[in-house]
Amino acid sequence: MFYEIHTRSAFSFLASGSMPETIIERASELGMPGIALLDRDTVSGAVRFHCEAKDAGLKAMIGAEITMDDGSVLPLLPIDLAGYQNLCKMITNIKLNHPKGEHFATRKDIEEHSDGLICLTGGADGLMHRSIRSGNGQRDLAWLNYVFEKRLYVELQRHYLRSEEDVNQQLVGLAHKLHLPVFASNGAYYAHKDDRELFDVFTCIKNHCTIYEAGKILSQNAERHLKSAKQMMRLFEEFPEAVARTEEIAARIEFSMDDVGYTFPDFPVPPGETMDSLLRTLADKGARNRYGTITPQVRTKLDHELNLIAKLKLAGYFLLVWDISDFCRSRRILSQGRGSAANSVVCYSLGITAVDPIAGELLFERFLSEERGEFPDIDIDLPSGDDRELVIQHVYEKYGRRGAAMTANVITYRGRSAVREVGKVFGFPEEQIGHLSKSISHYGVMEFGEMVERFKESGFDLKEDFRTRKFVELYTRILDFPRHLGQHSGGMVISLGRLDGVVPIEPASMEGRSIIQWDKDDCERLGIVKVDLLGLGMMAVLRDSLKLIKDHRDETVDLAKIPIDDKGVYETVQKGDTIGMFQIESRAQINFLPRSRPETFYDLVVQVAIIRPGPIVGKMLSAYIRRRQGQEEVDHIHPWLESTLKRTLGVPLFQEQLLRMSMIMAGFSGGQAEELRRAMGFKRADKRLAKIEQNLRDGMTRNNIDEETQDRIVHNITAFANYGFPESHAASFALLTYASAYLKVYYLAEFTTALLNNYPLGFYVPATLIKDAQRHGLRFRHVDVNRSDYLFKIEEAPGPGSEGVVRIGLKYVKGLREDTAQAIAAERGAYSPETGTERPYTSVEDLVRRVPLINKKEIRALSLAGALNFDNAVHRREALWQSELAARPNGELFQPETPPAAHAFLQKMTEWQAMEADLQAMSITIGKHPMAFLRNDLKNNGVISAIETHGLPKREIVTVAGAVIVRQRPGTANSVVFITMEDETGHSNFIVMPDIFERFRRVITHHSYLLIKGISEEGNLIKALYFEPITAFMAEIGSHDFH
Amino acid sequence: MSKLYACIVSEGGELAVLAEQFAYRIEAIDGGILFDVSGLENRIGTPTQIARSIKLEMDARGIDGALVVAANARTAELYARSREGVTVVAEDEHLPLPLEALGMDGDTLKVFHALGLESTADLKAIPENELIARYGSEFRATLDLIDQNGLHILTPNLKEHRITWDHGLDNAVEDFEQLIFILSHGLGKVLEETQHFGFSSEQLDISLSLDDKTMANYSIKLSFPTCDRNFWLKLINLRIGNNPPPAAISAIRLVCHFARPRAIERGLFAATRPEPESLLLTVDKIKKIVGNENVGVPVLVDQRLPESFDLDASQLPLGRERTDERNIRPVVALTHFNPPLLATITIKDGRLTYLRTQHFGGPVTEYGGAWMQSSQWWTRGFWQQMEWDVEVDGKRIYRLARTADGWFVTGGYD
Repeated sequence: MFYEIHTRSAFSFLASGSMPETIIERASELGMPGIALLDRDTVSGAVRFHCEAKDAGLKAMIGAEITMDDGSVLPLLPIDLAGYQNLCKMITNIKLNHPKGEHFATRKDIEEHSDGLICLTGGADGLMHRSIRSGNGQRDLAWLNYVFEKRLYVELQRHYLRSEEDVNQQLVGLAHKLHLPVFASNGAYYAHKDDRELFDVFTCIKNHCTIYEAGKILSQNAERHLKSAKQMMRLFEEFPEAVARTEEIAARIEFSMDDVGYTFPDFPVPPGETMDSLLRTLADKGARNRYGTITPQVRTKLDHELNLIAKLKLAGYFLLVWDISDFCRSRRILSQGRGSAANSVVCYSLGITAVDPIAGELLFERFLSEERGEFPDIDIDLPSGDDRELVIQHVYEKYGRRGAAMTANVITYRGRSAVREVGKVFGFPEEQIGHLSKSISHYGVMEFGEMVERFKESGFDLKEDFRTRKFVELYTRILDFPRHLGQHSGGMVISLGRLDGVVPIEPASMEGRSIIQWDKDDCERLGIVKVDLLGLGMMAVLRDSLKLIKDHRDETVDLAKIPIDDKGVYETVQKGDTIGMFQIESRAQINFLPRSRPETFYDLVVQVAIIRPGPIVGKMLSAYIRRRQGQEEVDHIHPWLESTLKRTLGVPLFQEQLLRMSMIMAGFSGGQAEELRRAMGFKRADKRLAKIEQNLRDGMTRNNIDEETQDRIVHNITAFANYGFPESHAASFALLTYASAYLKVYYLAEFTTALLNNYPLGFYVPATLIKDAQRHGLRFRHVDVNRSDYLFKIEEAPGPGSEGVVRIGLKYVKGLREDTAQAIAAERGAYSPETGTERPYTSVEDLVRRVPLINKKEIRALSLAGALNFDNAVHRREALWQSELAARPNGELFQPETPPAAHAFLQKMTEWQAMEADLQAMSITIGKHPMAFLRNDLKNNGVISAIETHGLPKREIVTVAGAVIVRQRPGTANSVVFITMEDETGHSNFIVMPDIFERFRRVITHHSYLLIKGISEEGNLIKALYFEPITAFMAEIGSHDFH
Repeated sequence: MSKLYACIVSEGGELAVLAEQFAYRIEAIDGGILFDVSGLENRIGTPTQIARSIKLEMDARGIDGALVVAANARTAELYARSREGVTVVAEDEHLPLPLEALGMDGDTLKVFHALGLESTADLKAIPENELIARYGSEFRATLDLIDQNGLHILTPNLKEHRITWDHGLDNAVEDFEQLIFILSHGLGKVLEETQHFGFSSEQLDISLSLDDKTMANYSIKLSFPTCDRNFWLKLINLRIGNNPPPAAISAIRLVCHFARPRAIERGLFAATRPEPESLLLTVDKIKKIVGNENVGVPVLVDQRLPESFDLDASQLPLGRERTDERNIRPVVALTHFNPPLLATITIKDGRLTYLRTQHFGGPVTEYGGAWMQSSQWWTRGFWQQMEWDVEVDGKRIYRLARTADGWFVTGGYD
């Protein structure tokens, strides 16, 4: 019997060629009863290793290799929970006490954390190999023996290397001398022999060299793969006891990842209260606030939920989330729970969520059930930026730096990064790598055949060129391998006592943040509670809009009280006039809205959920539209399902509906139904799903459901595996959708200002948002050092009833630092004895003198952006020319006394040039749209505008020109590409079939302004047939220069 | 008399040779050549006629590129880099150029473009004091460049650096050794002339025109400079003798490249060591016996290959002695067999028992291994090999390898 006691996985980052799952799979194939994973200073791969081993019936042992201060490693393996906690704490210590990437353990660290840990002497990079080579073998082995007492094992590794044997002989001698047990290991770095290639590639990536330059840093052979007991016996034929000893080591290890000692923290309660009683008090109080009086229906629901929460001992968790929500309320931070939590009356009553689950008929079991035996998942949306950071830091403060941390996000090699890094290893020139990675990242991962074509375009023959072929092979193999640990967007883990005893904590790249070494899936698998504090740009937009409305109009808008059935809002949404609106602004949504014509809030809930890959691929979308338009009769599959499916016209769209269907038709309990949903969510459901499907059919048979209906129900439920959007989540999002639509319709200036100030968010660039707002009548004023603040703001506009004019903020001037922009605004606003108010800048010299922070590049940027025109006293070029003088370093003595006179040699910019300068300096323009300048030429040559593409008769051949604002290749669209172009009249939409896209790939992907010839289809869509860059077209017709 | 400069920017061709036809003050510039043609007015005529002459020479030599003749060296270069064909710029003439040609920094260029300035003509429209006030007095150099004012800087950097000796034979000679006398004469001349310039030489190029209309070229490079005619002669004889020309010789060209003379300074008690000349001759004599490719310096290969070192035939041994006495660990020396010895191995019960080669053989009394190596999987040259260290007949230990071609003894441990 042989257990491999020393294995590394890809989570050692660039030091292994196999994923934990592959290692387990191979160990299982080799008939190994158990295997240990010791990644370098991490347990990041431990959970998936453990779970995979459990499924395969193998004993998984988890440890880690610890990097020592001399660069060697010391492999440690916990015997029990105490040992595991020591290991985690030690890794945390060394990671948090050193700059990122420079951590190491000292001998003192090892001595302090040695309890409960087995120490292995390691392989060629191990501490003992290094000691022996430096002549200190006996001294260091004696030290290890002293520290680990009876828990030290001398490790022999044989990879058919001459150099290794010398050390092995010495190790055996020393072990004999000190009466230490010897064991055999292969120090596996990968599962299969072939994985050596990937390991070598990682070695090159780590050492920043090509495979051709790597030389002797590459492995000498491919022997570091997992080996069977037979192979190991042959390898260590003179040390059979060393192979047998692996069984003894495995037997000593009691620790399992099934029990990592995680306990959720108790919530502090006042004397005389328990957590359950406190939660009940708070929920009752909140319910009275929400519902006015607690009706019997509310009481029943509340009691049901509270009893279950008490039974599952989850009161602490709810109180913790309530505490976070309460903190947000106390700081006036907008927050809203989303996800399945919105199914809970308790969450609604506690103010965690904003959707009434009783009114929305939401299903509590989707959120919590007794059978599942796991913590519920509550996500809280917060405004992105400072507000969210405040909440995160509140959690850190409350539970301590070692009691709370963010979950990790495993960043993997994806298309672009994989091409770039593997391309470098194979020595491809930067230019070719860039071109290729751009092509790949633009439209996702390629099929092999497509890759052959793409390589051909770049001048490589994949069929002939060995190097390129090998590159492609390795590129494909490296995909989805972990690259490094990032930070999850908002998941926080909290533990009673020390979290670093459960999982190592390490510093995140972001100041003030720390992360655990597991991602959210790992946490979920081990039942570790996570609270998601997610930053949502739209929440920040709403927050800022409300403030602007208050400041500008002196109106207080309460989002909880805005009319939910406003006609004007729905009319706008029905037109697809939704740019900037949350969740319904995408090209697909805009295309779909005029057909679905939402009229109620629930229609919006459906709208949010339906434009998703699942419903589109599952043909749910088209069925829903046909029924919505009355072209198809509503069919509820079975009369029993009418109440469940009537709101979605018989089309199952939500996870809650799936749960209900199984409960009604097959008599499933809430927990069983949820298990069904989860089984479908897994990529490799296989046996599990088959079993549940059988239970479903059995249940339906018991209920006398005929076979045909059974098939239809099973088919519908199976389709959920691909989409399944929770209704509660859609409802939470729809609230934000409605709020954003309401603000856009009635408070356009404030909403647009807030949108632009919170960019990046949403689908569109600021230039598009501005043009859209202008088309809705909003006026903008140019950026100006004497008027603009750092952010966009609203200024009073002349004339009664005007909603104000938006002043462009200095934020958008490229190259202007935020500090400088703030200093410009602050200095201008500083008190002046003469006026008592603002003290505007009088000239460039004045600006430079009063804002010493400003540098030459910034002055140039401001003048180019037109921010230094001083009430049109000078034109933009004049300002720039003056800036060049003002930017020269000189002392007081040499300051010019009088402002320079106008310069005749400088021509005022034309409108076209000013527009170009705007785009160059700020990427936005409030002047004419670039296409407006070309309109006459275009019109004369039969090119129509975007507005003219709306309502075209079918099959008409047209030519349209515009600025490309969207290029999309949805995974659901069978390689079809969607393009949206913008001009001064609006947007035109195009569908590009794969063959046409291939023909014009370069033009489409490399040019921002296009001329497209196509044939009109339904729904204002044009099927593109021919593409040309506008520059080429304008040159052809002899028009003025178009850059 | 006014100055006149020519500049050629071309991707290739013998620009220096061409320039030598017209000037003695020549500056090689990046991607071209700049030369002083002042004074050629008397010989050739107007700047336009000079330009025409240079162009004719360019055409004759197959040189394609831009040619500019101007009164200022830098102006000539500036125009040559910005225009195509032949341009003659009169002393007070100004031809507009795009501002990019002035080589100013990118930010300033962007500002000029934003100001609506596109060419040197636009820039000249701005009063000089305005420009100087903004961009400092150093900007005057840019303006001078446009105006062909300022310093006529040309830094000759193409000097004579070699001596050539040519000799044609009335009748082609089959045996190179017959030419030694003539070669000795030519060698004497070039070395004498080299010394006359105050130089020595560490490179000689010998080109032999052959009867079959082909050429045989030899380049002899030393690691030290010398003007020792006898030494050079012996070396030439050995090198050409090792690799004789394939046909009868009809003409000889000898090119002697200049090098700084050797400075020899030795202490009074310096140990006697062989002169480098005699060492080199000895090496060449060995080469003559064993072949050029089999003599050189062993160099470690930083690649995972079956052979851990390579033989660099272009290098000479450095002759450094081992000075690190601190490392007291015993060193096992391996004598590498080149070529490896084909071996026959007897295996009994999975163990190596007997080894035989053409030169030795015997029972395998002890062995270590197998050791396995493989690499180069990223090329078609993927290889893998197994090795053993075998003690034959209790006497000597050998390195035994098994490759795809069979069993080989690749070396022996001393």
